[in-house]
Amino acid sequence: VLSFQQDNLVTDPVWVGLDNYRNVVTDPLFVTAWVNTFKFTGLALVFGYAVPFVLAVLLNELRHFKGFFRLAVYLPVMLPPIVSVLLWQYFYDPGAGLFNTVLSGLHLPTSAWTQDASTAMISLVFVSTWANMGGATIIYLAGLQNIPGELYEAAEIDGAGLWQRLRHVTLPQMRFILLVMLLLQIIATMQVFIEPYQLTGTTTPSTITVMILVYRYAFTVNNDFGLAAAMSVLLFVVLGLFSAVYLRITRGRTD
Amino acid sequence: VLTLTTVLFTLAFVFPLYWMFASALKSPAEFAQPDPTLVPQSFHPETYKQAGPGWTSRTSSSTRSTTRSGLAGPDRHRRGRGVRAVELRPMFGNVVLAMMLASLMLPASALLIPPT
Repeated sequence: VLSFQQDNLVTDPVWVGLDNYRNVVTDPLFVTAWVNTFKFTGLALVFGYAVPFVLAVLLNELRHFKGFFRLAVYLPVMLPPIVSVLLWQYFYDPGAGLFNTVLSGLHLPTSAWTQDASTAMISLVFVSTWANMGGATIIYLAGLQNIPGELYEAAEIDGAGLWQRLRHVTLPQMRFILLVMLLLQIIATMQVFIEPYQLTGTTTPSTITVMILVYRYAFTVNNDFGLAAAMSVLLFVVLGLFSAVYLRITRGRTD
Repeated sequence: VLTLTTVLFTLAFVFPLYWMFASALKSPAEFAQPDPTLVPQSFHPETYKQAGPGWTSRTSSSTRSTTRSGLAGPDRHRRGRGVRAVELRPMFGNVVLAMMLASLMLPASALLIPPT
């Protein structure tokens, strides 16, 4: 209902019909925000989806210091998201930041990280991956430990190597968890907000995401909760359609 | 391989947390200097003391009550609904599941319904 109104929470709301949706779609930043959001989601999946699975497989194979590695990978999850982002904001600082200090010390070229349009998005992805991969790794690890050992023994007797065991035993047994995690991660990463908000602000075109646009409509540029609601509804619809298609395609594989 | 894995894990996951802990012990001048120091030149544990009143005040209390209600209320109900949906296979179960899934797609900020 709010998306059909002009409402700044001060004066009485005005019914504007579909005007909010028209204004949102014709906003020059509309396409930019969606492209950036898809870019972030794609990159976050490359790192945030594949890396935790590889880590979980690695942790499952380790014989020594299991407790240390599991604790280490989960430690960043215990930090509040804003603390993780602030910590990395200091690391990324182009002046006195830790990364550039280390690179300078090694006589390597430094970077402007979040302040350079070409590296800003990947910098946000690193923060997000570091802060969140512990949860996914632990879930994958729990799934890996539920795979019956007899399957691996049978594969070894048949002469399967490491890669073949991974491909013919681990991946099929983990298929359900992998598919569900993929869906949940796409939904979560498309709603990214804290990383771009804190690291690059709400005005940097290269990192304006859909949620940043929602924030701008509601609190900074327009002060119109109706516009923000319209954009939120569009995100909801896109994610809903994607989930429906995804569940239909993968239904046969998970039954 | 084990040594390399341990070093990489420590660098990637433990070092940033060490840096946070060590930075909290530095003086504001040392923290802001252009060349960061790995180990604080002088230790200032009073930072924790200064943060103490905030930790024990209303902020801390609201965090505790939010955590308590989060553990006791919605999560338990969510798990209960999930178990019932799986075990009973009710009519329109898929619709109920889709509606529950749909709540995930609402951005958290959109749930902040404005007071009227």
